[in-house]
Amino acid sequence: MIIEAKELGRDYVLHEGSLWRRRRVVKPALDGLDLTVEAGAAVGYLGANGAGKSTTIKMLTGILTPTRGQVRTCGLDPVPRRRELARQIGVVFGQRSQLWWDLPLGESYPILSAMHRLPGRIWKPRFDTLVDELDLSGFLGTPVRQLSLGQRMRGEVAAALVHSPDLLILDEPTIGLDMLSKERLRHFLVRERTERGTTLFLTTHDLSDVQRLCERMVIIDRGRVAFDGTEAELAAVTGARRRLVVDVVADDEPVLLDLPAGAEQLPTDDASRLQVEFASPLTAAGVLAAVQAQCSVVDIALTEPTIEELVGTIYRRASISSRT
Amino acid sequence: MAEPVVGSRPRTVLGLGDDRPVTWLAMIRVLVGSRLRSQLAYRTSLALDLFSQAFLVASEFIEIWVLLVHAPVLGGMTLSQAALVYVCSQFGFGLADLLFGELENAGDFVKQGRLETLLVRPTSLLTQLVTTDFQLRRLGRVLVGVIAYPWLLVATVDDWTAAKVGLAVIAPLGGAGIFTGLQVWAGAFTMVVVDGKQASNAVMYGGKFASGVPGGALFTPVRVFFTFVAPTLLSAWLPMAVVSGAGLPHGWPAWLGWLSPVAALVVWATGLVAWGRAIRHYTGAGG
Repeated sequence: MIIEAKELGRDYVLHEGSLWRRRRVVKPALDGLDLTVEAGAAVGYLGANGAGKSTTIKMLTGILTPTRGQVRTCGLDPVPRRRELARQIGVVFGQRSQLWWDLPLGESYPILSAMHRLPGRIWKPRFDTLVDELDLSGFLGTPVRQLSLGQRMRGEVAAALVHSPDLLILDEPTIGLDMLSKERLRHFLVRERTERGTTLFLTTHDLSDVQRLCERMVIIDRGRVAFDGTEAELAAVTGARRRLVVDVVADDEPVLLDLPAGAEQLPTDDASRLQVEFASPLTAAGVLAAVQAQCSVVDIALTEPTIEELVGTIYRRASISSRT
Repeated sequence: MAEPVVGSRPRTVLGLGDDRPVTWLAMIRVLVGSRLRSQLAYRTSLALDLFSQAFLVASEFIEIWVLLVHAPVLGGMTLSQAALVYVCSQFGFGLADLLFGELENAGDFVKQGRLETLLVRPTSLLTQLVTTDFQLRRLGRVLVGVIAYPWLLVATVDDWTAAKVGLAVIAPLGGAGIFTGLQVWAGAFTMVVVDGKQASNAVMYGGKFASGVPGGALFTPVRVFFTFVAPTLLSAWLPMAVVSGAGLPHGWPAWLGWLSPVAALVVWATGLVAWGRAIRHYTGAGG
């Protein structure tokens, strides 16, 4: 396992009240987090603001000492072995730069490589590959402060990968990026993982990042894991309903279907278009077979629930369970 | 096959070979070299900065000069002896400020969240903070020391001995050691008390000011504080009093003039302990 967290928890101590009546308030930011990530996996780590995403990343990277529980990243205890761990991980903070602001972009990489004590024969071929794959060549000579956000973020990803880490941690990497820049970055990350087996651990608000990059998602809410699984499992867990749209050869009279239990026919204005909503354990194939037994099917379309709806359901459930 | 890359590919940095292992010194060369290249790109600005630093050193001496024009002896020292103390102190402080001056901004890194990006690199935080914004303009104060210190030594001291030559060499280096150690302390302090820069500056710059005047003229508690607590008076006044033959206040032995390397070691050792605690405080509190 490249990440192992057991009963991981972190409290923050705040001081509230006036100067004379200060109260020490302990607020748990993360509580009882159990998380394992296999080497080579891609995990999307989701949560609302204040859910504990950044706290988790800080503890995984050795920036923050856990209050309770255990954590191992790349087999190391992160805080006491922070510098050793830094050689094995790359971290991209979406809103903080690793690059030298006043230098041309290309000058940041020899500096970072020197910090990793990598001789040229190691880092230069890797850097050349990153330049080509992230298409950095057009602005290597441009000072970082003059780069667009998309260019800078590609530069940041290259900076996090120049030492070929086993684990890449990305904290909101696509925040503020336009669609084209997002897609380019995602495409690169998919390839990086496929070709080098780099583990991706990604926090984001943009669920399309998770859909494109990760086969597993972990949703946390108020410092606890609210869901851990695939998108399909999320749909099953939330009982999200899928919609099958079927065009049929029909008379003017609307067709009333005899459907398996759990499937529901929705009213439509067009007699030749039928809509059926269903949820797991029913399958699209099963529902379609039932429709085909009763009508001549011309065309079909299947509408999946959006990931936003699924995650929203998880949050609503977590909210209800915390109130009861 | 990828297209050939245009633009500015990084060259082999400062002569580092492609096969040679990167030593700590080679890494420092790369880190500081990048800062120097960046600052040398604006040469007029750099020249003006250097000149203004040097001018500042000269103008700060005016108040001591004015005092000594009206009173022939200040704290047991003549004008030329006081000038020697002042320049020796500026030389030591200038070296320290050039090398470690950036540490006083450690609290700003915490406030801006930039410390986290430094903590995920495999290089010590102290090395990164010292080299991240290495300022060549701070060389101005050192240049004044390089030129004026030997000149004032020759002009002020008549009876040279081997011991005095040794002490004259040790004094600015010991002073630099004391001031860099205090800067490590200041960095540790501002990492814990994020808005504590004013307090740490009071000790650092108060100590720098005190070190540049004849210590015999200082109020005794101030003199004791800046000799035995924040020992900046060991960097210039005490060694230069021994070298120039000026008198020390009653009860202050001459061997105190030789203590700056020992004091530097003590300040550094305790400073590193404080620095380690400050990092543990940061990782414990979460920034």
